Amino acid sequence: MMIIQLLILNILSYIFIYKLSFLITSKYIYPFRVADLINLFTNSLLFFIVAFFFFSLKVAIIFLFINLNFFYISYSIINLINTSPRMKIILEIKKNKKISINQLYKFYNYDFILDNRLRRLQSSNQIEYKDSKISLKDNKFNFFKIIIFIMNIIKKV
Amino acid sequence: MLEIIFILLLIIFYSLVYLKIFSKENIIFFKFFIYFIVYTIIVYFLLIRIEAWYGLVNDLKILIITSYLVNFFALILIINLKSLYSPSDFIYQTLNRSKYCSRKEIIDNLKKENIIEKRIIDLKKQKLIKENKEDGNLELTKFGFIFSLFFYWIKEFYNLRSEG
Repeated sequence: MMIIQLLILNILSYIFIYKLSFLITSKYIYPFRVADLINLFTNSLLFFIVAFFFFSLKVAIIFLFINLNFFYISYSIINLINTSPRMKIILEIKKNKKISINQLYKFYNYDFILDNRLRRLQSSNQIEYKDSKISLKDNKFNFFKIIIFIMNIIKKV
Repeated sequence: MLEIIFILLLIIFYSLVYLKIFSKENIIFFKFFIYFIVYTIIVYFLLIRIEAWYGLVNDLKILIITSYLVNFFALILIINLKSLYSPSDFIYQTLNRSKYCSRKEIIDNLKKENIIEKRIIDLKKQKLIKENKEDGNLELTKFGFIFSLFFYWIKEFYNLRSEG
């Protein structure tokens, strides 16, 4: 087996095991989907072992590095499609070919943006409701806070 | 291991130089990508003069180049977080200011920040969408159409919902 063949196999495996993982589960271990984690561990482990067995530890480590990058890329792309307002606008324009700003506001407005986010945050146990008021949950590890903190660090770079 | 550290350093160096010199405020991703191709060509011509690279087998070279490209695409997605504050960020800020807040307070804050309008402006700057001069409607540019096809294919293949 050659390295290039193994690399192509790794890419194909990443695409199809992801599909399979999505069919098996749609659950979250916030902030990741279980499908993301299944795909990461299956591919990283499988291709690390195969690369080590057929080639060397050096090649195996590079495969591990590639799989970690695949994980971040796929996680981010799926998140973009799922939650990004810009992606929503682009895909709506693609669906309708042309759209006026008023039409866009009819199905994509501030209520819609907020409802989606509150639903996701509530289902992942990051916020709570009390008498129709909303607050952050006092979890020891509130991932919502951690993610915002990381995003703010990236913005400052 | 050294190869991975070298790749990371090359990618981090490029992104820092680009962000500090060429794009201090607004990142135009198309420009970021074109400059990266130029940077990669320069790096490649410098690299082929080094004996350590020259001595590697072709398969390993391809694997290293693949890691470099894959790492670059991961970087684009990290830098994407820099471009605009997300609605979740504003929701967090509102929730963090007062212990309990109402839906209306959050909505007012989102409206004040012109979340949707800023994104439409950014998409125009990225040359992904344009305003039709005749009827004023929004439509995709050619580049935007190709870009949307890629994401549309992924969305359909994995049966995802674009909630926004």
